[in-house]
Amino acid sequence: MTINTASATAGHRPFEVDPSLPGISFGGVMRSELSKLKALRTTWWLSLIAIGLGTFIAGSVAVSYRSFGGNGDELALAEQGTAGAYFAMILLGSLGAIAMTTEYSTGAIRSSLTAVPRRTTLLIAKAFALTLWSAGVTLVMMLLGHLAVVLFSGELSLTAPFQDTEILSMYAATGLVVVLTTLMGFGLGVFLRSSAGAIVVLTLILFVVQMVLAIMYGVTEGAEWVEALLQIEYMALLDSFVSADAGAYGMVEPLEPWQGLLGILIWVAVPNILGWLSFSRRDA
Amino acid sequence: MITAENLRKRYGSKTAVDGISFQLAPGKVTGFLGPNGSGKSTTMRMAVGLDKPTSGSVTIGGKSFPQHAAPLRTVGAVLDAGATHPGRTGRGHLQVLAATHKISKKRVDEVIELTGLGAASRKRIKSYSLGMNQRLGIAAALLGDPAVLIFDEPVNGLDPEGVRWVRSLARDMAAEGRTVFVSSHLMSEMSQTADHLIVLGQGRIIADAPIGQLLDSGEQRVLVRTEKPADLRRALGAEGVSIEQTDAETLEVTGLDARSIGRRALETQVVLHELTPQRSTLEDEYMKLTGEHVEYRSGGQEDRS
Repeated sequence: MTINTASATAGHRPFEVDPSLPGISFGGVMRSELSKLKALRTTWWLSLIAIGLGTFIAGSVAVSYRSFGGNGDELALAEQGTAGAYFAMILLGSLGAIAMTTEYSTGAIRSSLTAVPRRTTLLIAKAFALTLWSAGVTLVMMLLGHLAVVLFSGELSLTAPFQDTEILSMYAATGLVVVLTTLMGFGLGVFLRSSAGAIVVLTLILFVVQMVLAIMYGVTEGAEWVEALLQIEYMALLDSFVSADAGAYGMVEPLEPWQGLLGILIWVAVPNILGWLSFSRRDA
Repeated sequence: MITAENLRKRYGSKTAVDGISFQLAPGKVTGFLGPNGSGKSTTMRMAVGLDKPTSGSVTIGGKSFPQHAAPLRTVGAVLDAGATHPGRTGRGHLQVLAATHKISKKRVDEVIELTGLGAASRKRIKSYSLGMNQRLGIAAALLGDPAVLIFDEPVNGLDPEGVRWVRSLARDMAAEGRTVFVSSHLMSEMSQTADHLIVLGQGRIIADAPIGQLLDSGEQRVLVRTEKPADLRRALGAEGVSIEQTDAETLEVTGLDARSIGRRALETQVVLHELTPQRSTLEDEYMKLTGEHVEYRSGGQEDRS
């Protein structure tokens, strides 16, 4: 070992950092992550499209409901009004992925990590900021969607969610899965470190797996293992958790709502845990 | 104070940093010098926890960087210009970093002023030149008013005024008792800034000494001009002495000092017109030190080492 002790004798009094100055805090890191989100145009575009599309779809559903003459089932009407949530899932899920992958593609991760070298803290703060943001966007989207259904259908009352707990809990469950899907996108982004990769996988999970399984179900003439997979794929789990008439149009018996939620949580946890393991170990 | 002990980093089968140890003192500018690919950046990245050492350790004030409660107040690092999101403004980038440590807006304004970013701080980073990116990186490093500064090739892309500014900044920071660690592959840059040099070649330390000492350790050459170079050559010839004739009257002698050459000239009755000891430049020493450690070499320079 060639430690040069000669160089260690300095001519100046060492500079001391005032220990009373604030250091890193979780609140501070989360505020920093929120302002990162807000500073990006992509965030605003994806969020505005989610809100716009969600409201537009709710309005369209309401208009067609009226023109075809509804059956007066408020819960079913309200639920159809939330169809835009599927688009919000892919849009905000992509935002979740991009929130992390742009850090890598731009190199900003190196600045972020020199300010916050504790990687788990950074990751959790980012997830929290995303949760807050996506919850806010989802809330606005659903409020406007509800308003659109109320206005255009003439069937649903403005205060229906407060009179009918089923409608309220359906709204809450829908909002929750949008936020959870945002976090799944985030986990995929952390794990895959590539926007394209993460968004493709997210799209496969949301829109393709169910189709492929349905085809396989036909090909295998209803094999039990395909049936089991059809129950636990992401969209089936969403359906069983959110929808009052879950499985009405499906091929297989849906799980119980609580099983649905548990399954969703596992789907969301897996990429996040893999991402955390990779992020806390790999070189940045 | 930065301390590295047997620090090693391997990427697959390639060893980037090969078990180096050093200690950096506060109050000095320590230059980290080496050809491209010698492991300087990797070492600096490990110091701030971006890369994990394969073995060994590097600590700052006795703790690894992530263990510090206030990392931005401990170390300010400029590792590469462009570790920023191009869609953010310069000010936005600084505010995002400042928020993590509750650093005031006033301090953000101060570093913008100090680094001369001025009005450009409100523009998106994508419109920045390399030099402005470099200034923004330095602004970010100064945000926390840290005790240690780590600059990886800070003058890249800067105009002459900027280069001078970075030099005096490094000197001023060291004068305030901070530890300043600056890498460069340019010896000329280091000779104007650093008090102490660590020279790296292919991941190993090949010199770790004060600049003055590095110069003194160089071989002494003496320039001799005489009417009878052939006679003088004969008189000086001995083991360990090498003599090179550069023109009809000029010899370059290594291995003997000017005093001995003068004495022998008198003994052999050879008239001297000039007798000048040549102090080797830092550049010469650097080329000598790193000659065999250069990974990439320009064509036609195989003989140079």
